[in-house]
Amino acid sequence: MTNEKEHVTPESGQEAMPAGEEALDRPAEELSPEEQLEQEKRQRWARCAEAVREQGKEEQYLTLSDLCAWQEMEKDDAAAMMRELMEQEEYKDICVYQGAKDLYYYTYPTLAHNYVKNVALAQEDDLPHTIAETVRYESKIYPRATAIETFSKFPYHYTEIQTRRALELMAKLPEYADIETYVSGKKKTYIFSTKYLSRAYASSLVEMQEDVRIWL
Amino acid sequence: MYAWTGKILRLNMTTKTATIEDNKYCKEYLGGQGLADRIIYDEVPTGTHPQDDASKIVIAAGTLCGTGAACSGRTSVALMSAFTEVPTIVDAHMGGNMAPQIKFSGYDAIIVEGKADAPTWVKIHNDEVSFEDASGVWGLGTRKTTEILNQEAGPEYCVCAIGPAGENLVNDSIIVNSMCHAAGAGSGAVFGSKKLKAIVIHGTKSVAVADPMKTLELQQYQLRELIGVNNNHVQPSNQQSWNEFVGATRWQGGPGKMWGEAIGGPLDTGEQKPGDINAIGMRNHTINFFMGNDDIAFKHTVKTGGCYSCPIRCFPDLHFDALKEYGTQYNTATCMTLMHTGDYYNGHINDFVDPGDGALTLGSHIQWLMDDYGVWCGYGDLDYTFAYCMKNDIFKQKLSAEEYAEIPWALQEAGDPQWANEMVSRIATKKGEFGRVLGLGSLWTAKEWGFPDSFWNEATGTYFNFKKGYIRHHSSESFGQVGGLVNIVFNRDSMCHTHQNCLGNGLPYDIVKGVLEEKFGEGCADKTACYTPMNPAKAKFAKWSIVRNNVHDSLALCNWVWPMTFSPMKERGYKGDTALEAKLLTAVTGEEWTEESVDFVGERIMQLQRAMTALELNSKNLRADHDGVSDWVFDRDPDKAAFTEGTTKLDRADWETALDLYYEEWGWDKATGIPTRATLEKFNLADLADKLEAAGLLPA
Repeated sequence: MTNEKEHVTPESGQEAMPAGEEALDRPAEELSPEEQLEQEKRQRWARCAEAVREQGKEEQYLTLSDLCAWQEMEKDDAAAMMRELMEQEEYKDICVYQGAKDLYYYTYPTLAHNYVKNVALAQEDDLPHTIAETVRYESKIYPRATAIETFSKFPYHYTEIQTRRALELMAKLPEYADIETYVSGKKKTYIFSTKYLSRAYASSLVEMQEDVRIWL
Repeated sequence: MYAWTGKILRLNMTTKTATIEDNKYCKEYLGGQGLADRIIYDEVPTGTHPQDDASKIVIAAGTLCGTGAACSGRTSVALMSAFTEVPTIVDAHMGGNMAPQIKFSGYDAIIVEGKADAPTWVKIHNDEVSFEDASGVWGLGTRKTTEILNQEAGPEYCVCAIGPAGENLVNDSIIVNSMCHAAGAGSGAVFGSKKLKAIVIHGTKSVAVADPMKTLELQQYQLRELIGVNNNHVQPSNQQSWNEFVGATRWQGGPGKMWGEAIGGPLDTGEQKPGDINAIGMRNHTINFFMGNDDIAFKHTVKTGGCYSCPIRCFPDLHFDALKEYGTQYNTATCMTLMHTGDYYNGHINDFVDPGDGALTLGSHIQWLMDDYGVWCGYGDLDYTFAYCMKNDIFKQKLSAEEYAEIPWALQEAGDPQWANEMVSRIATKKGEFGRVLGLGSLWTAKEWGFPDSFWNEATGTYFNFKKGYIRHHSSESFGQVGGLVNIVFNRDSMCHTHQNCLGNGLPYDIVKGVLEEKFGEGCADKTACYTPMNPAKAKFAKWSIVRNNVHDSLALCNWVWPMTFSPMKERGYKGDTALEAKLLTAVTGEEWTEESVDFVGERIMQLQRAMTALELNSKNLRADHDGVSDWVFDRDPDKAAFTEGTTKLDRADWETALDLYYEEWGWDKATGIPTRATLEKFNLADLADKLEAAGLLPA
């Protein structure tokens, strides 16, 4: 996915989508009503999985919203259908990221879990939430403090002014009480979560990272 | 014979004769560093100054060079040091194209001995060796020399030359092949003392491989599944569709990352998925990593480049219009010297064309000049010494008033590129006390100008080894005691990346810890700046780091990439394959090699060097005489205790435990740090034990 590439929707790719394989061998008119339902379900699974995989080839995910529009389904029904699909062995490559505003279906390992999460966060465009999610993850997992410029790069592309404004807003909200900033010796701003990093540790990691001699 | 040529070329500069001899050390020392060190021990009397008549220099290719193995183009150089208190065995290394030409000419190594009476260059084409008059290139820089000698011999030859620094016997001097690939440690002065301006070599023979298909299969496996970039960083610094993790790594390429000066227009380096071997060359950009995240180095990049048989390409071709009037506008380099612009300019750096391009542009200019004049930075030793002199007004205090006034400091203050020409040329030609003393190396500079001990103990953590004249190289900031222990064994900066390549590779700590603990045991790898007391697993990790470094320098694989401890592939759980060296060696030689048998050779080389060092220092106690550590290691961050979050400081008592455990791992006497007879005999080094015993240095 390049920074400039538009998000491909299922509608735009509908013509290329395969009809899906027959779930059962016999013609539909020979099937019992239960078998017909099963056949339709399996055909839908096949279509949806194929759509997710096709999106994956374009380094894209398929949102639940797009899926519903394409399949003309209600969100709850579509989400249930996809849950059942993902339990099948043949679709074990299909994964979902649950965002705050949508569900994001993708194929793994073609797309990395964190790639999908980060692009989805960018798409949902809730900068305080994006900052908190990203910073808490990095503080816990690597561990490290997150450079403010992270949010000016792909996939976020916020200006540093936008990020600073978001941080000011977050400082007033109790749900973000763990999000703090540190300004390094090189005057760069870093963000960390006190749930996972003490200020002293976060600052020492930052200063070490910025000390070029250490990494030569 | 497979892989090895089985032959060594001896160049006697006094008699201007070349002889071809059998290589009796193939399997025992592999090649490269191991072979070169052993020859120095056999042939150069203990205590010989590197510029004495009896001194020799050995330039050796590795066992895997010429076999197609990835990153196998390194050349190992062994010599005696001048920048230390007494002459000691040191290794220098260079990439480029020298080692393959040595192998293709039919040799595993070249020994240079004696002294010519007039400037000479040596032309080697397979068995044909001639000693040529170098008076026409004596005094020239390495770039012009290379150009002229390539015109003389042919463009297919590799020119390994010295610049004015080598000719003028500057301690801090290099030999340079292919204009930009340098081996340091004073090797230039050894060439210079022998009046050897250059070795110009081209071979048309081939290296026999026992199982070519297996070798190819292993190489493809490495490229598909294991290799990352420089320092084997295995995750990118940017989010691509495939990577779970993003780190501050040298894997700088990615979508939107453009080679700004590519021929035909800017080139997007694009997605670089593991398995796509054709994209490997687009991944790395070491200079951009160091220059920060504004991608200024990408903007000046024509393409990535590098050494023979290396897919990583850590030497980008750079172009700077602003340097055209100085003739240094085209350069290729990786990191050192280029990164220390601020030191040489005392912080006076101005932008040239774009915001933030000053340090890169000036850095490239300085680095170009260092290569051309043949000056060695000592992995930043010269840079730090210079910065210390500026900061403490040493030049004003130690130079005569006339000399101080004559130096054009205004150029430095103006951030003028010409300052670098002044500074580097003075060092290379020993002009004045400024040039003479700075080129001695930090130990001798400190002695001549009476630096206080605080020079070695600055809290910036520059000199891990106290008053030794060589600089920290991934010491206690890299896995605490592990990096520290790695730094004490050599007679120069350690140049070992086995451990460092596990740090900052883009993977989360828990993954790194899991892979390393499987190999060395619980507690071997502390979280950065969150250290724990010493334990046996750390001693094993530190020892293996050195052992595998020696294996690499002997095969000779690039230790800035190898070993393949980690992988970029999530399907492998990011675990690499540390047996790959042995698998490759088995495939190319047709003989069974295992990780253990390969590491045994790597350990033998360290035992040899350790015993040689005891002899050279005439020391009964290397623990006291050689392995001393600067106070800052224990005293930095005074408001924090060792083994607390947020500090890399170590604890003095714990360090003594670390030495005990480390020496025990090596089979060295705990009290003295000197190999015991049993250890030396285990590695077929009884002759070293006898010599130590005769000198009264062997532990009881």
